[in-house]
Amino acid sequence: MLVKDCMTRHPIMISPETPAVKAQNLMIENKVRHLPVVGDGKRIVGLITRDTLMVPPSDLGSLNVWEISRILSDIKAKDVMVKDKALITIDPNATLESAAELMIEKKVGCLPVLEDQVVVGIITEVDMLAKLSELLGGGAEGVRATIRVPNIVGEYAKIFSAVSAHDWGIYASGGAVTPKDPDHWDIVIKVRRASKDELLKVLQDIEGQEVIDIRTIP
Amino acid sequence: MAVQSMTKSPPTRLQKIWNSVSIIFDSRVATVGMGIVLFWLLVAFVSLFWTPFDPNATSFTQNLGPNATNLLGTDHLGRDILSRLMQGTQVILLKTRLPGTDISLPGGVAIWGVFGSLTFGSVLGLNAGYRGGWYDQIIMQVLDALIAFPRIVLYLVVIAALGQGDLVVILAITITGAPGVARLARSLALDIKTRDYIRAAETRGENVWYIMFNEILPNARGPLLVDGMLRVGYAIFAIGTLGFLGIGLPPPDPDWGNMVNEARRNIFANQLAVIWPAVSIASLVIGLNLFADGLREELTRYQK
Amino acid sequence: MSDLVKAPPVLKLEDVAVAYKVRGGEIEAVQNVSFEINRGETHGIVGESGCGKSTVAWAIVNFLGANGYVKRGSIKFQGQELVGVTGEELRRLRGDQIAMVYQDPMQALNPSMRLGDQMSEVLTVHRGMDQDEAEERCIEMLERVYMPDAANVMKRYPHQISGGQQQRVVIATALLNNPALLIMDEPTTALDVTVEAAVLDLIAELRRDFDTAIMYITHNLGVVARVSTRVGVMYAGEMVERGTVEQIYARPQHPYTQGLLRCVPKLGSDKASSLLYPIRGRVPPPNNRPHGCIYAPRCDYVEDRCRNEPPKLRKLPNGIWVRCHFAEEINPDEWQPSEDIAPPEVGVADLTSEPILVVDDLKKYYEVQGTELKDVLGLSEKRYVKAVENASFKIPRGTTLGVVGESGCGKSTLIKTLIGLEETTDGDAKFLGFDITDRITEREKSLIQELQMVFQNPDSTMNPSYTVGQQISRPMRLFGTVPKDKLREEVIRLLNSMRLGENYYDRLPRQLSGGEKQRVGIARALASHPDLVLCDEPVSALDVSVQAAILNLLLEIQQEFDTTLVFIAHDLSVVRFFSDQVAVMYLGQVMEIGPAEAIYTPPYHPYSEALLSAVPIPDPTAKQKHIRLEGNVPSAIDPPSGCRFHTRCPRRSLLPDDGQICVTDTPPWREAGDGHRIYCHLPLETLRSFDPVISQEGS
Repeated sequence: MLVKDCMTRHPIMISPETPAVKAQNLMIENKVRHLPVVGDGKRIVGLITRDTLMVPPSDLGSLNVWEISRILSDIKAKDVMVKDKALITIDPNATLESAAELMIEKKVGCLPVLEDQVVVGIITEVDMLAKLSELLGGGAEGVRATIRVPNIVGEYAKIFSAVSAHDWGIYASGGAVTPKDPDHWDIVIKVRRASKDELLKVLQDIEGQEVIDIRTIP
Repeated sequence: MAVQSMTKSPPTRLQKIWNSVSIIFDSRVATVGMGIVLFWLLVAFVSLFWTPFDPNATSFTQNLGPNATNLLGTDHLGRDILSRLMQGTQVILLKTRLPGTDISLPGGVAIWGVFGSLTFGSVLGLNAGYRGGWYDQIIMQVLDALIAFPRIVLYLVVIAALGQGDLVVILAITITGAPGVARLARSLALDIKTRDYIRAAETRGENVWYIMFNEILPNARGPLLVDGMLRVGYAIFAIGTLGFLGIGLPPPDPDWGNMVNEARRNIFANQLAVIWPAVSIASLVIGLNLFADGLREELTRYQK
Repeated sequence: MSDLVKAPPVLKLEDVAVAYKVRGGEIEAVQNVSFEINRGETHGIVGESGCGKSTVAWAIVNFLGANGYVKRGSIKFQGQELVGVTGEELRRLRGDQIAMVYQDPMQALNPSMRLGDQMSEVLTVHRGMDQDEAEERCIEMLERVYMPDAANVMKRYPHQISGGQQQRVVIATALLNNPALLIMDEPTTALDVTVEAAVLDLIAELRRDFDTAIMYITHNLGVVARVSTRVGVMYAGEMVERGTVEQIYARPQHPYTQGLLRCVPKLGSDKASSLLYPIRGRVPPPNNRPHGCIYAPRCDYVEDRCRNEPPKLRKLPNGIWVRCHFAEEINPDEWQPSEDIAPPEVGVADLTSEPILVVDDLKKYYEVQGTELKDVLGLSEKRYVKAVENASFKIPRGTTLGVVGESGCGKSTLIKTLIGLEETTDGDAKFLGFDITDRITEREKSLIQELQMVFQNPDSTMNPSYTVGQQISRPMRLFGTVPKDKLREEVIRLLNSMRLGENYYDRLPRQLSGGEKQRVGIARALASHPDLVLCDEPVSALDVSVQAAILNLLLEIQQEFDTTLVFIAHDLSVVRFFSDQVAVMYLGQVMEIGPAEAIYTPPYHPYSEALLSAVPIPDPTAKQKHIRLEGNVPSAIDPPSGCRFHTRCPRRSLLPDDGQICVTDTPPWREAGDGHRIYCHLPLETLRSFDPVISQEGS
């Protein structure tokens, strides 16, 4: 679960001399929201996003239609891209969590993934969300249960041994501290080959744990 | 099925000849070259029947520049240069005189000399290339030895041994030209003998001479002929050189080489007498070279 | 990467047409080609020679030469239009994001530079890396492509490594810059089958690791089935069908694809599936294409509409794109071969009848000319290339022996020795009772007449200066088999047997196609009515559909003229359906020989097993064993001791002491009955116990 497993390799990229208008067309036609700007050897130079393409009106000078067109057509990617200090990037061997934290902290939706300044892929919010869904077993059928457990060692093991004793498959699991309750953890599991009632019974039999939600995903 | 209409009927002989000849016109270079060569052939032919004046008649004032009667002027003996020039083409291109008699063989000395070196050289080269082994070693060593001699020396040797005369000059040209042709034929044979159709001939048990002359030679014809054209040019040079050295074709019939030789001695009095024959030699050689070059381009376009 | 996130295709071609300007106009080499390739996908482009598949590749990278250009359509790479891009932009794209691998690795490798220097050049120039780091990366990449001893290979020159290894270096170099698109133009065609199999495995693995989009161009339907996920079939410059590999092979919709699949030799589990049906007619030349559907002249299902209206590439409900008006109505399962292409009945030959060729312990060694002074003076020990080592077999009259092996196995040397182009070093060979161990120049003319040969390369098998008629009649004149006045008649009769017409009599070789030239070659070999014809890979250089026609022709001839054939091939699937006996050779040694069917089912020699598992099968659902040979073919000058295969045998460990006996002793011949013999130390029961190499899914 590293950045390199989750990123989009070979993203669409443009050169710094590409006109901004063309960059925008590319993004619209190909339904992407971020374009790395690269020089020779795919070295990162900057990043273009939907936001960066918004030119503040003060830059336009006048509202004359011809002027605007001229100015717009002159603007190149290198003029509007995010670059240098403002450009946040990440290493392919970083963990997904660190990527997420970075995105949150710096309020960016996309991180170019670099190896020695060369773009090897990009990872975006959407990629992260897709991975999140996968981690919680999204898209697959089975029974999804959320269990609230006390914050002590051994609780995970209890759940897993209980489920595996019945020859059911667990194929996703996630856990987080219960909101507003640091003494407890909420654990989500997705189980296969069990019916909702069967699973409910097994889980309720575990001591000290409370099933707060259980549903069948078709 | 549009593709099947390849040939309606087998081409007639005339068509076949035209097909081969029309290659020449595909190349501008070759056409120009051929034009020059044809011009000289025409001059030679015409001179058989008519020259403005008798080439050997010393009837004019010596060392005149070009004027109304002598279009190219006269030489140091008062002979008309134009007439001499015209007759000079004969012996090179058109006829060979047999010694001691008045009979002449058709085909000039240059032509026969090249023919000799092509024949002799091809036989040697094909044997060396196709049979390889000791044949190759011996033939090529002997030929290498010949090449090592400077040409002039070889000419001198041959002429010293056999005396002067058209046939001797032909022999000299053959001997000096054969090694080059053999080299070429050998490398062509080396390449062609790797082809499967040669293997096929071998598996039929064809004998060596058949394979060399009926299987290999037809495919080596192109480059060899083109080389031959160039050699005609060299032969003309050779005759000129011999003439210049004074050991060429015997007088009194003029040949360009000895025209240059004689005029050289009077160069301060009459420069044009040297220039006209020299320019003629040059132009014929250039014409042949262009022709050969252009032809080579067109022929080797389809060579596999 | 999750399936939820959909990215735009790496390469998208829409309605592309490529034209070449020639004297007097222009020719459209490629028309109406559309396809797309996504990340991590391998898209195969399949077609015969002249269909324009390489032209498409060159159009993408703008390699069309001075007179070619993209006339219509769009080529979008990573969303950006490539048509019309020049200069700096193009150079950057080509260098950083698109890489190309060719058929001949020597085209991509500079013979005068060390491999390490060439590879690191990619990094130092495009990425500005420093030399040491670049070299490190290169070594890493070479190890990625399973190059043994990578650090040493960096210091070598291209000619010092084998063909398979050269191709690996080229692939490694292509991947160094992590391109988004990798174009491979027949990268394994020039390689031996076992080497090819290993390289194909590599390509499949790399695709997964690098997530590169691969465009794989080939004429080999088996290879496409193995490496591609999707495939597009091209014919005469147009794309006629497109879909996933499973769909196209299971239910091809276009008559051309159906025809192609029928003429590709298959290694199925029974002999019937290996019958070949050629496609009638010829590919139209680019300047003379039919109006209407481009395949109409050759199609079995042609109607008037096909001749007048060119069909568009349309999508069928099952997801396949096809260019045919009647695709839904055509059912390939109901197809019956028509008169002119039906293969002849293959009877069962009597292998016990009187043999016409008996070879016993034949050896052919070539002397190696040493280069040291000692060798020139004759003082050092003589060294030999042991090209053929104790070959023994019998061929009954009227049957066919197929000889299969990879390059360097000695099969060509074997027939050259039999026909007398080379002299035998030792051993016996008797043809019709006469000794044929001498050179052809020593043999009787009447004997030569009975033993003739067909050659591999159709372009060099004919003498360019003589007409077809002259060349076919030459053997007749030479051997005096036909009186002068009957020559023309006889030649025309032969031409008709070859399914060429009378009007071929006066044609020159350059006016003929590859297949036609090969037919003339066969006619020439048969002109003297020989008893035995040796065929040296006669169909390897031909397109698949032409191959099928020639193979069927040979079968017919065998029946008509009662000729015995020895047929050499490097591909086990080709010899299957018409050989009566098959021999498998490795490094000069016959490893297995027996009736044809026996070779394809256990018991196998371990080498035959490896060969069978390496051949790419044009059926993605067939299960094929995955046995790969390690290392390279050893040199024949110093062949391994004992069993020559012991250095690479994957079954060696089945013998005690890790197969020590294979190193020390030459193996015995194991008799498996019916003339089936295997040259191996493994006992017959073990050999019988191997699973069959190929089985159908679910069986």
